[in-house]
Amino acid sequence: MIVAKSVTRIRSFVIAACALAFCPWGAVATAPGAAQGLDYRDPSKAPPSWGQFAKLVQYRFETWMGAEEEVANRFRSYMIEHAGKEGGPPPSLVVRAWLNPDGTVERVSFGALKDAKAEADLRTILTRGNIGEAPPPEMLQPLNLRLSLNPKK
Amino acid sequence: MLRFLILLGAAALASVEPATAQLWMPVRAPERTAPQSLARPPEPAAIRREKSGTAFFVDDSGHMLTARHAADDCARIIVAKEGRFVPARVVALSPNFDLALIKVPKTLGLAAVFPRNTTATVNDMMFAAAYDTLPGMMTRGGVVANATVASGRGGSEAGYLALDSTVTFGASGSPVLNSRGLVEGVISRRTTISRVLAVGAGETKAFLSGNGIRFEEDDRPQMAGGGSRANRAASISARVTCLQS
Repeated sequence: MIVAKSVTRIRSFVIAACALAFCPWGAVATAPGAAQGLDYRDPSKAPPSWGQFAKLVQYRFETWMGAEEEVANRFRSYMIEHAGKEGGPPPSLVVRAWLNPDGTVERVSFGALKDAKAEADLRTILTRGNIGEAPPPEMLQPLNLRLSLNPKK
Repeated sequence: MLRFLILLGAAALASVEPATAQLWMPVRAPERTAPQSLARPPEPAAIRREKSGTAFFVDDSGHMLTARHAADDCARIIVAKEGRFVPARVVALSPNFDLALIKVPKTLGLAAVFPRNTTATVNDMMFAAAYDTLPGMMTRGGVVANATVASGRGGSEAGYLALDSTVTFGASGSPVLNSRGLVEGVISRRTTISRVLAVGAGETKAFLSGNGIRFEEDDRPQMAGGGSRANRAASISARVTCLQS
């Protein structure tokens, strides 16, 4: 389901083709292809502990984006209203995440959504909680996740 | 941590039956007791009977493993994790081992990884705990290990892994994690004050394969060395409650 690729040179760990679905809409749409413009490490050479942690981050992001609370509801509403339209959000988004040793998300960065409020909401959502485990100390950061933004109406 | 283990030990001491026989044990002569379920005992049947155990995810589609005695004869099964409660259904009960395969509509956590080659040997440090006890362990900074693989003498059974462990009620179905974060067994029941049996990884994998579950296997570490196995256990497991009418 996920393809982990990273590069030591730029100290990045990339999860490409990993998709996020919005709960409770359910369907997971895979975003094909890898994030562009970054040098990757062969996934088979990435330590499994990195992959496990990345899967956990993916799961947490998915859960937080699907949460029934004000900010997540507002972001999902924005996605439903603007997805597929001109000036709307892209079908997928590469999110770079920096994790603290205690499992909290220090910061995230991602491409512009063309809507400042939606960007702020997504940033709030993705930095609001604790992943639940400490990142492997040797894991390269930032963690790069390709999120498929494919809500169902 | 020490205080926590002592408290758990006290709980275990308080919960066992009177001695009926002696076993071989390294430190003090333990006393054999009747095998005791580690599921929470049913509440008085005033309104509804229920028993609770622990279950853990074995794939990304919501399949979970738990102890058979924690999931059989249930009118309803509820899986609870991090404030969410979802219904589960029984997919299969093992005829030979204390294993049950249940399913929730959507995964609520990370899928466990099993060892390709079972290598657990006597005195290996393991981790196993009831899901409900994990938050407390994490608050205290995590726990690396709280059990050791015991000699098979005096209480083990074919297909089961014997552990010296203080796990108590609610631990049935808990994953037994080795130092690499791999599942070496599934907690089944207590046989003496300090000894617990877990269904071995080989038998557990055979049960999953027999039911068409595609689980992950790897012998490489799935978590950083020295990382808290309590946190990994919390990532993969949940509380399972069996409601009996």
